[in-house]
Amino acid sequence: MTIRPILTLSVVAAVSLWVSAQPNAVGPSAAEQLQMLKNNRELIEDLLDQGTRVSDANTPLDRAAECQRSTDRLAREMRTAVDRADADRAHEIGDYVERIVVEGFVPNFETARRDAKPGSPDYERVKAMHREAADSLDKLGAALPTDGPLSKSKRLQQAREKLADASAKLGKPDDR
Amino acid sequence: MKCEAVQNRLLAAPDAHDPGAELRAHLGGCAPCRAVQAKALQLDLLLADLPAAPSSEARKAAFLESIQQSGPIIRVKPRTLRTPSGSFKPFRAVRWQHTAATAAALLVAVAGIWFFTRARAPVPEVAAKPRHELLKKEVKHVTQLAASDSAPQRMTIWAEWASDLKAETKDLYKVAPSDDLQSLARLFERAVQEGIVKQAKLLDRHMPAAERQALFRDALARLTDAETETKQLAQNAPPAAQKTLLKMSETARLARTTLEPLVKGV
Amino acid sequence: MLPITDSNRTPRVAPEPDALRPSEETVWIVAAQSGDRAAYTRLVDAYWDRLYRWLFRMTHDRHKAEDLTQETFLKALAALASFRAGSNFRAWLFRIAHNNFVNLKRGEKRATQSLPDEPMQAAGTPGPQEKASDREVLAAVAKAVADLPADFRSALLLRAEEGLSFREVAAILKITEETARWRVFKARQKLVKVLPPDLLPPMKGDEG
Repeated sequence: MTIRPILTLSVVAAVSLWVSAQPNAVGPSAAEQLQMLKNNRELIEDLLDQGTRVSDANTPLDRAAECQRSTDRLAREMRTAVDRADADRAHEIGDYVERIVVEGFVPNFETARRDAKPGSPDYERVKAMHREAADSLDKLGAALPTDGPLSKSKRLQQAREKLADASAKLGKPDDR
Repeated sequence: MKCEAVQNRLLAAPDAHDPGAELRAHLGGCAPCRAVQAKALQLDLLLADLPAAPSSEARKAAFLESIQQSGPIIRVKPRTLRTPSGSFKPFRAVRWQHTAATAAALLVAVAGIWFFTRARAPVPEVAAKPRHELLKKEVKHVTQLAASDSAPQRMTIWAEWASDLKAETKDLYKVAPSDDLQSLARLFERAVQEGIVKQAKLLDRHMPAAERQALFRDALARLTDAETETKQLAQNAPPAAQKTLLKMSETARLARTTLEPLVKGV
Repeated sequence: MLPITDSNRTPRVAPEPDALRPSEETVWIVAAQSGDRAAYTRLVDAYWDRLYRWLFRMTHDRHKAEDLTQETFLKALAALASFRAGSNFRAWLFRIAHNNFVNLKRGEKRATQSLPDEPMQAAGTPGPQEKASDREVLAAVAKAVADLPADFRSALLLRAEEGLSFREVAAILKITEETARWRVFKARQKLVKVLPPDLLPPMKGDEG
């Protein structure tokens, strides 16, 4: 089979369905980037704070706890985006939440859980952390509107999927 | 040296700015050849600025989405790929024609599904707004720090974080008001002091010298780069930015002087 | 001197020459080779625009350039297992793109040299802020580049736009380094002669 006719057809099919391009193929202007900095400044400062805490955390359990705090901070940002009906922003923050949960929290949590002896204080802390993390993601997902015009936004649906992915990776607290 | 030969060498040089000592000697006393050098430089600037019909962001986004959604093509570990016959083969064993053909077919399927679902969605989607690169990188660094388990790793991550903050300052110093720039300078200082320097001090003093030097090389290079670049930028910066840039330069310099003895294990 | 300076433009932030740092890029490549979709999309995201821009200049057609860009990434995806992580990914990608372009050319009649009608955007600036003379200059250079034979154009743009070394250009185009150097030199020589005299300082005769 030759690839080009299939690819051409698929390319034509895809291209014919899309609206014309945004002209910005080379990145934001300085003015746009400055506006982004202004919008994100507080979040950027808070994330650096979190970075130092994660960096100083000596155990997987402590690192997981700091990742959870980072996620909580992003969750606040996501709720603000929803309040402003900013689906793009909600989607963006959803990406970041998923990343920190999946790549930061879960690996450390899994290690901590494996290392914690049943009945020990760390074991109880692990269980509580799991419940709290799962609960936090559920609440965030619930904060995304399910009716109204915003709920139909594809980006908001994608944000919901991101949170669902993160929840799936985390697993339910009673699973283990 | 004949001018024709000089001018040909200028046009053939990798960098007309610095064509080498022999040509420089000729250029010093030859205005026509200097004019050709100027043309070569101008030409390179023009080539870098050639107009182009922009690529469709939507097209790119659709392609990225098709990659993400084309589940059987790439899967997270463990890696197997279901061939059209249904049997499983290792990903790397599948010939590219099947992979590309399946990807293309999936793209058609995704586009078709998108079309039919789009017809029912009442809210028209506009293209996604560009994302703030610095914010993206910060999230990345937080996850990297969470995944790291040694001071050397953390030091490298913090060095990159500091570089990102410096890059943001460089992008914006001409247009940003002083309070935004000062915020960036404070963040840079924290990344350097609470990040790079702190982790450097945690390194095992008994680490072999060669290993220690290799670890510090990246951080020192980035600090030196930050120190000199911010200082240079300050020379022609607006007044609101000068102080901030010089402060960042000083932060980098102090950190560098702190780290240099540590390289030797002192 | 040509009146193209930064002072009369809205400051525009150019993307980093290498959107991914080499160490970061290697991490993504290894992850993608292990089957991580998100890692591969990050690579696509990082290279799409520059690959597209080069292919646009080769084809003079936005849709063809987009098709070839997409095809390049699909082929790269399929061949990713054979790529040695840590070696020059950019050159490897551009080589695939060049092969795709050559295949396209073989299947087509020789393209016309005229520039497409889509609205153009200079690589570093937004349109409205440019002076009319700047646009004329850029249009003249673009036309002169478009008139170059494809072999010379591809080498010139890889060198001048992508900043690749002659060795890298040679690897992408499957020629010797000497040939790469020669093609870039001849392309520059042609461009300098073709550009209207009033756009550049006049060339004076030989001395010595």
